[in-house]
Amino acid sequence: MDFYRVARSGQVPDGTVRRFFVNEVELAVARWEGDVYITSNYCTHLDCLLSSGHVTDDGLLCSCHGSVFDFQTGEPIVPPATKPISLFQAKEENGEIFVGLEPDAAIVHAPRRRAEFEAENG
Amino acid sequence: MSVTDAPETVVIVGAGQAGAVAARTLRRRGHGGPIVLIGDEKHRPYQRPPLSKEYLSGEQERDECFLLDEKWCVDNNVDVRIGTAVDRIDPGSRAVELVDGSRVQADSVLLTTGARARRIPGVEGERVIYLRTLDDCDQLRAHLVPGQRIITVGGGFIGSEVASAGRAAGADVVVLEALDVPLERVLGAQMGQVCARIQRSGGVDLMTGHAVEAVEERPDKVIVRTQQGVTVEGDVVVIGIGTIANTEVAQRSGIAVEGGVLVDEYCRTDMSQVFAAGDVTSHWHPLFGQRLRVEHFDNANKQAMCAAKNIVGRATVFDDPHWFWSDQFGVNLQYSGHAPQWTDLVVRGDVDSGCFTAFYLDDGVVRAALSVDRGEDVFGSKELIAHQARPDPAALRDEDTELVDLAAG
Repeated sequence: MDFYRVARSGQVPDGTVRRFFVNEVELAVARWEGDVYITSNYCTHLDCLLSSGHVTDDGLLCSCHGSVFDFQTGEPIVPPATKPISLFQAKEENGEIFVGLEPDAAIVHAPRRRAEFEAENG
Repeated sequence: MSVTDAPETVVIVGAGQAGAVAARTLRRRGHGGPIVLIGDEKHRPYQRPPLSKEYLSGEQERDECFLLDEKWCVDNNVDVRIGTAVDRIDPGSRAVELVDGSRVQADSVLLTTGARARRIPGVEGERVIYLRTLDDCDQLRAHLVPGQRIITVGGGFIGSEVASAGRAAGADVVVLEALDVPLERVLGAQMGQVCARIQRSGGVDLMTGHAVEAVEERPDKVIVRTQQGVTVEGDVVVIGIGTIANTEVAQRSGIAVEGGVLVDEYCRTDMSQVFAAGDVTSHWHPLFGQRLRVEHFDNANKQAMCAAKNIVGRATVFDDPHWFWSDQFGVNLQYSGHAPQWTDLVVRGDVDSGCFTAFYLDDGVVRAALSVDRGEDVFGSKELIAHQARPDPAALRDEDTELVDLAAG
C-alpha cells in the first residue's frame, strides 16, 4: 500500500465532508472533532454520494435517505444502509492529507450497484 | 469512574429496528458492558419500509433488510436472542423475565417492542394479509404478478404502497378507503384528494367512503363486502388500517401506558432505568407540546439513538420535528412535523402540477409540511417546524425566498 496526497488540510474544515478523486478512487474525506476520516464516497444503500451528506455527531449522514455511518469503523449505525462503507487509512502531515491505497483500489471500491450492473452485463 | 467503565448490562426488549439502532449507538457511544437484544419474531432485526416497497416489488434482495450482521454482533458482544418472548420486567430487581421462566439480569432496560397491525375481528385466512412482518411480505410477494387481483383495505401508506407495487407488477388493484379521501385525518381533505389522484393516475380502482363489513374466503378467491353494500372479489386482500402499540410487556411490569408506553423527552418510562423508543412509545414532545405516538422509520432511528445516549449517561432531549416519506406510483411524498389541527394550508408551488409543498399552519405557526416531488423543500420545512416559525404566508409561497431564511424569525 502506498500513500497518496489527497488535499490540503484547509480544504476540509472541521465538520465538513468533501469529495476527492485519487487514482480513480472516489473518496469522502470528512473531518469530525478535528480528525480526518477517509471512506468510500458511496452510500451502501443506493450509491448516493456521501460527500453530499453531512458530518454529524452521530456519524456521516447520507442526505438521500438518512443512513448514518460510523467515522471510525464505517459501520452503518442508522438504516436504510445495512452494509458498512469502506475505510481508508488517513494521515495528516505538514498541513496535507494523505490516503493509503492498494493498487487495485479503483476496482475494489467502485460503486456497488454499478459494479453489479457491469458484472451482469459484461 | 466514567460511565464507559461500568460493565453494566443493557437489555433491549424487542429486536426490531429501534432495538438494532440502539445497540449500534450504545457501542458507538462507549458502552462497554454486555448488550442483550431479545425479540419474539423468528428473524434477526430488520427494517420494515422495504416490505411495502423495494423488497415487496423484488427490486431489493432480502438480505438488505437485516440490520445487525452476525459477525458484528460477535465482535461487539451483542447477544441477539430471537424467537424469545419476554413476560415482564421485575420492578424490584429490573430482571427481564422471559415467558419460558428464565431471567436476564439487567442494569438498564430499553423497551422497543414496536407495534402490530390492527386486525378486523374475525377476518383471517390464507388470502388475508395484514402486512407487518417479513413473513407477511413473503406471502404477499407471490401475488404480485400479472393477472392477480389485489384488494387493499385502507388507502393509507400501507394500502397505497402495496397498490403501487401491485400495479408495477401488472396486477389489478382495488383500494377500499373508509374515509372520503385517503389520509384525510393526517393530511386533510385537499391533500387527501391529491393522494387519491396519485393512486387513480397509477391505475388503481380507488373506492372511497367504503368501510369493510365482511370478508369471505373461498378456495379460489376472497370476497370483500363493504358497509355500502358493494361486493369486491380478488385473489388476496391486504389490510392496512393502522397499528396497535405492543405495550403488554410494559403493562405486565406495571409501567405507565396510555396508547403507548409513556416516556418523557429523555425516553424514560416511569420505572427507574427503564427506557423506551420507537413505535411503542407515547412520547412527550417538547416541540409540539403534547404526547405523540408515531410509526415513522425515522423516529425509530432518532429516538433509539436518543435513548441510547441517555442510557450511557449523556442527557439528550428528543425533540426531532418528525419526518416520514412514501414512494408510490413514481411520486415521492415527504411529510415533516405534526399537525393534529391547523388553521391555514399554504401552498408553495402548484398543486395541479404535482410538484409543491403544502405547509400546515396553526395560528400562524408552521407545524407540518407535505412535499410532493419537492424534496428540496424538506430541509427548510424541518427548520421552520423546529423553530416554531411564524412566517408570512406570502413569503412561504414566494419561490424566490429561501425557506431556511424564514426559520429564525
